[in-house]
Amino acid sequence: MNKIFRLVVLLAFLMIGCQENGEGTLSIEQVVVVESFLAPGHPASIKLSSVIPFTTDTTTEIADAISGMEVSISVGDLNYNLVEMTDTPGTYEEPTKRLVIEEGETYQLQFTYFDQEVIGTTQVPSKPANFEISDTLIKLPRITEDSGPGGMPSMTEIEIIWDNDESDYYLLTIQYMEEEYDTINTVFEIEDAEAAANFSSQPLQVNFYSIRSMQFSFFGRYQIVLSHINPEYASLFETLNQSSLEGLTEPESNVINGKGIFTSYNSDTLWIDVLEE
Amino acid sequence: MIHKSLVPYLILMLLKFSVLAQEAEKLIINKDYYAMTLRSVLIDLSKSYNLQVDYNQEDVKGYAVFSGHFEMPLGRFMETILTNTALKFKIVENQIQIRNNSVEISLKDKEYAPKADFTLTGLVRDQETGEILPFAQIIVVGTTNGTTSNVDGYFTLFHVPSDTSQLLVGYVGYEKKTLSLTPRLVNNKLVIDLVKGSLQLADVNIVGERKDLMKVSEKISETALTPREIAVLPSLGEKDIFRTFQLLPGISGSNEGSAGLYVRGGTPDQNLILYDGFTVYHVDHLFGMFSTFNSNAVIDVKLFKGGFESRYGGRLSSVMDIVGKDGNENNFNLGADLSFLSFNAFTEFPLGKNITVLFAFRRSFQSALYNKFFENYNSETTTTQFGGNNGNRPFGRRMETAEPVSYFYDINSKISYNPSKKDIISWSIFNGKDVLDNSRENNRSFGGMEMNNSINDLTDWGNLGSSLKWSRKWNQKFYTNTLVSYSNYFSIRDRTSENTRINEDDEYETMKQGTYENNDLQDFAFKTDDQWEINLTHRVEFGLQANYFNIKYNYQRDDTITIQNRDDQASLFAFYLQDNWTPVTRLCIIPGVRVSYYSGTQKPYFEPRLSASYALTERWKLKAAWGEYDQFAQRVIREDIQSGSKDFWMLANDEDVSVSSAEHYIVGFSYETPSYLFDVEAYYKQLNGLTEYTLRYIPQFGSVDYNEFYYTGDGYAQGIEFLVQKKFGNPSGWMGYTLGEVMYNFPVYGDNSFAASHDVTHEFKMVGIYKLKKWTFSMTWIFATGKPYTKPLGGYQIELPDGTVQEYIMVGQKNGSRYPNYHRLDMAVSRNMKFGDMATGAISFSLFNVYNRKNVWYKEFEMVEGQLIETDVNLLGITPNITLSFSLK
Repeated sequence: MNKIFRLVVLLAFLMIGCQENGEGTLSIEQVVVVESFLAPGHPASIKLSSVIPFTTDTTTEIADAISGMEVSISVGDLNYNLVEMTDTPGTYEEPTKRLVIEEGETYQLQFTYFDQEVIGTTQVPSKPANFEISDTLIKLPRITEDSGPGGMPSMTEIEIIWDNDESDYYLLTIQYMEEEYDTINTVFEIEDAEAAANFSSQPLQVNFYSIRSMQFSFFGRYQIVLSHINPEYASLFETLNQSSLEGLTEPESNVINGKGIFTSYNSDTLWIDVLEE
Repeated sequence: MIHKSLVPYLILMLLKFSVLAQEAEKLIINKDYYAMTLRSVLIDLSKSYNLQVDYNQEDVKGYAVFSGHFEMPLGRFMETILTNTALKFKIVENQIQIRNNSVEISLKDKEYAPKADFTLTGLVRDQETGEILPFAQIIVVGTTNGTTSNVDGYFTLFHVPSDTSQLLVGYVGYEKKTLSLTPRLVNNKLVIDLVKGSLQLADVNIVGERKDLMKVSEKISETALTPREIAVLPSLGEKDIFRTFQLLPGISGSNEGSAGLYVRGGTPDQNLILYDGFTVYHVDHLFGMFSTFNSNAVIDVKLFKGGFESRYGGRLSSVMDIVGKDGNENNFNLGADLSFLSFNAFTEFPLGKNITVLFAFRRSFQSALYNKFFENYNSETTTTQFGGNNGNRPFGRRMETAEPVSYFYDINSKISYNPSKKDIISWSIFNGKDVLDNSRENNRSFGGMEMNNSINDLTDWGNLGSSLKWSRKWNQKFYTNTLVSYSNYFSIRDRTSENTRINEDDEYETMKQGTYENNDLQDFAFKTDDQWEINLTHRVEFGLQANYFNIKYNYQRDDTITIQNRDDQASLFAFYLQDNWTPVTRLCIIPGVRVSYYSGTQKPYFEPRLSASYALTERWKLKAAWGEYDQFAQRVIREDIQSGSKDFWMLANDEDVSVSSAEHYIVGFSYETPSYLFDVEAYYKQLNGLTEYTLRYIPQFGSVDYNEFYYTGDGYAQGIEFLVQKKFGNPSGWMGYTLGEVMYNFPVYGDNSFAASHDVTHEFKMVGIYKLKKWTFSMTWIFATGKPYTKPLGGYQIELPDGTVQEYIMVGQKNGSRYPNYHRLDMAVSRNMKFGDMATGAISFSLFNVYNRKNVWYKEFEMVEGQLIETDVNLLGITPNITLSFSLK
């Protein structure tokens, strides 16, 4: 199933390639960016926006939302129409909540834009199995200016493991749950607290991940989310060539006749508390 | 140190006393005679100089030779020792007959039967060093009967009218010589010595002269260079053959990042670069600032811009045939150059009677100039991680900055052996390497925990080549040249990092990350090139070539993921046959065919070729060429931002990399006066089977089959070149203009053709040289319209479930936009110096990019908060250089 899926992805990209270049190129106004991450337990949500053209006059920072589209998602024989949310234009959801995202099912997105049929397909991966963490509680000393020399804490490593026999892609995210930031090391000033408190891994194809205690900047509770993702989601992390030396590149997209991503993932959550010694 | 250098002198002195018999009249006697009788002097004379002295014992009795040191020609010596005697003498060749004044001398002048309408063979050499001059031109004065000497300096002239005709001999960089033939000259081995003169760059098929025009070689699209003389042109630290060719029309001059030549819209890998017969696969030193060829070791370079003969095969665009110097036959010579960038030394000397040796070495040192090039062209610093996440922010990450170690060197050596008058055996070796090492190590220990982190950042690439050649002129009409050679190109790019740590079980765990790339190419070849001069109208050339290729390419990521692991071998056999046919005197037609068999596809390939030239009048000449060309080993350009050798060589096969082919159509004409040359050539090249390999469609993390990502396409290149050259006088120089177009069509990018990345529409170049006594001033100016690039049209954002936002760009038409125009002025001034009679030298000061124009190399795009930020990365700005040269001869 994966092989066919990859072929579809490739084919999709080639077809996009064929259409985007040369005189048959769509003008930039006719290109739609799809943003959709389906997950079990969350309502299906599709966000459509346009590409911001690079002109010297443009100062808009936000892309224009694309409204008024007739968007539908089908799974098996069933077809659901999505409705645009009034408070967030460009975002389409399924109001009746009959559309449920389930593991193993394949969902297809469809709508028409400028006479082009925009299609995306994704299969929901399985929930991470045997997701375990070595410690749910660690204690670290608070470092203040009064802390004596040689006060480097012993390096504890927190090991996280899960099953991954097929070398599928996984993503690990660590999120700080507290409302206020309780700094561990008061000697150094942290400029961007939010960036320091939350961090994620690159797509992993292994079955383990280790966090060093030094990586925690604040005391409190952290949520550890492991997501089983699809290849098209992993490709978003590609290091893309952004210099014209070798030719500019575009990220791979699994949306036919459009850009962006239509994917699904499945995650599990654990917690860890970081307390003061 | 001193005594070692005396050895060649000692050898030399020994050599001085052995002499060719025929040269007796020119023989200089250098002897000390003390209290000796005339008879003992004559005996000693005949022994020392291999002369036959015929005298009567009675006649010489009682005479003595007064003591002293004698250093004079033989004739005068005989006169001197026979003064005050009643004897007279006569010298004919190596015989001396002494008789009493009253007796007649019976020694007859050697008589040679008069010759008319005969075939004359000879050898052309440099008078001072004795080195042979390949491709010199010889013509019988007053006729259009002429020929060129071959790669070993030998020539054959048919239908020479009489043994007293005059020959006009010319060679680029040497004074023309008019030689009056004599019966004695034509009946013995003829050696023509030429003296070095002031030089201009000249089209080899036309060497003008004030009185006589000479058009002997009729090859189309051919240009020759005399490496010695390019020292007067502005340089970036090293005088460079390839950079000088870039000043000619038809060859792109705006490529600072590549020493390789883009000839008539072709890429550097489509050029066959031969050095003493073996193929050189990579010609860049220092990110393409210079080529790997040391001008001090090269005697002759010819570039065939297209339509080349069936003798050469395996490439689509052009051929560069480089002949290394043999070495000074007569004297020991030593020379050196020192510039802001590198040190270059060479030595050449004779060894024994028939052997000459040449050795040249060049190495860079990390001067400020070197570092400047390095910083400018080492493009790995600026990789914007687009679409990547914020990643880990490990607390206390420390990066140790280290000084990168970087250098290049090359070594050229050649030994030539002349076992007989007909044979030449030579062995040539070439080795060059570039090293770039930015590796660093990092050891940390925290509270009992050891961490070891080493980062490798090593780029190492180079060539090793060698050829053993035997050429023989069997008789006046038949000449063969056989060669075995080995050529190796290697390229290693190691960007891995190792992290060692102690895990929870107290064990050492090593994780390796990063990329490792290794490309190794071996080319074993056997070649024979034969010439058969049937008569004045036909000269047939044929030959065989066999190559065995062994190419490995290994590209690993993170120690476990193999992106490419190729280990290919293939053989290529080729046979060619062509005829230099002159049906009427002014017309020369060269039909030929090259047939190859390639084991990678198990197919034969036919390449018919045809070229012709017609001298309309003495000044006007028309020329044309057509041919088919195939290429079996390709250099695949990999789209990757990492610097170093970004490309790799691969053998064509049936699956992913196909055999590429081209068809050339060339027409042109030239008009020449004694001082000026005006040359126009138009070309059209059809290209098929081009290959591009790209990683950009592949996710960084995945086990996709990477072999899927070779793309095939075709294209064409067409253009017209104009050249105006002032060959003599002061100032001298040339101007060239090229109008060209290169379009590619790769289905993977769409149905429409796009301009190739090296396509330049207009290119204008100007070179001027002015000599004033010991000073030489030179300037070059290049103007080229911008190359194409793909421009971004817009950007968009995607918010990931974890809340991070990533920005992406949307690209426009492939190569749909153009960089701004490129132009650059270089100037140089040099002064010749003489160190008494001992040595000569020169000091030159060069300024590159005099008005410091910021020429765009490429652009970088970054999307920050919805706005596109475009940054220009520029080529080299104003750069000065000083070079000191010195040589004994």
